Amino acid sequence: MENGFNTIAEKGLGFFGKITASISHELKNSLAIINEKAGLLEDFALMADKGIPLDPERMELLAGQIIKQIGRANDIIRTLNLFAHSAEEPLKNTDLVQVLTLVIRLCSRFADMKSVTLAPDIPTDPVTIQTHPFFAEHLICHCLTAAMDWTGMEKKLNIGMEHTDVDVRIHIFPIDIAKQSDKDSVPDQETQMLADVLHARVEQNTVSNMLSLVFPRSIPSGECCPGA
Amino acid sequence: MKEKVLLVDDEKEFIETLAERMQNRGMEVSATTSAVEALKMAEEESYDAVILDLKMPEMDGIEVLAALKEKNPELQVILLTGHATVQKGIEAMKLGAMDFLEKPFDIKVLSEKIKKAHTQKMIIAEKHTQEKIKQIIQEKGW
Repeated sequence: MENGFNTIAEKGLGFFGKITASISHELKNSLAIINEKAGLLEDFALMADKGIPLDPERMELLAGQIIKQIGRANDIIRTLNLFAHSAEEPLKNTDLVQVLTLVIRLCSRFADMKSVTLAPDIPTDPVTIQTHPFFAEHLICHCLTAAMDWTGMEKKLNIGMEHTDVDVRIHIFPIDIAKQSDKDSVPDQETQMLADVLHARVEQNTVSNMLSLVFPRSIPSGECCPGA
Repeated sequence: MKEKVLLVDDEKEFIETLAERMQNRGMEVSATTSAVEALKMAEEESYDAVILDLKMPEMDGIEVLAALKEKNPELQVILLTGHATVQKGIEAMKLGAMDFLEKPFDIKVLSEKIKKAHTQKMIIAEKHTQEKIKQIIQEKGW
């Protein structure tokens, strides 16, 4: 199992890098807009010096747009902060709704890049399980980004959640299983290792075209994760 | 003569504002958020420079760059990247980009690069004219 943990830790580091790189790009885009809006205000000030009258409505609009972008950047940083802290969390009681919401947010840029719409319909109340939040995020994100390559014509992925006393299921659908190649099918080695560590299962239903991640409500003591 | 520029970036607010600022500086600017649309525009119009974002939906900036250069090898393309590294710069240059810029950037720096692209285009056009004249002289035997 030690070898498995080492591989998972290495893959986890890669996952952390991929997500933080994506977030920093998103943040850069927001900063670039703020930079241009502030630059335009500066242009207007220079034009006013040359006798071109200022348009107060335009000024107000620009200020509002800058405030909106600051809100966007703040939201991006808040997401990054939540994600970063999840990496230092041990095995603990975790709200899987919160984890899934965070993952959907983290994956939204990947979805945008692939022109895929993510349509979550998940419970609003907490659904608590005992798990390792970072590994759970990694597993869900890995499956969700893989599924982005298997969408149908509509290029849309629905994301749902069901729960019983025994387990919690995250469903991603519809997926076109025929689009999977030997290289990118799930569960691959990375998925299987993560699932093993979390005592979870990844199932594909060829009838309902659904990819499901099944998390147990709890993990037997001492069986998950280094340091847990 | 006005520099004619095509801006391509999926962030609508970014290109709209940048286009206005460039117009304030006397440039003629067209803008699109779609990579596919950009390819069509570059085919229909002649631009001094194309300012192209590296990360876009539909098509990656590198793919767009390759498609643009295939249709017009002399087109001057300036790539916009989130994080400019030496490696990325080398990659962009190898693929035929004229230059690259890291977001957010100073508009003075971008304007300089566009002016350079405009000059480059004029040198290429002049070279083509000279070759044409030379060819006519040879054909007519003057």
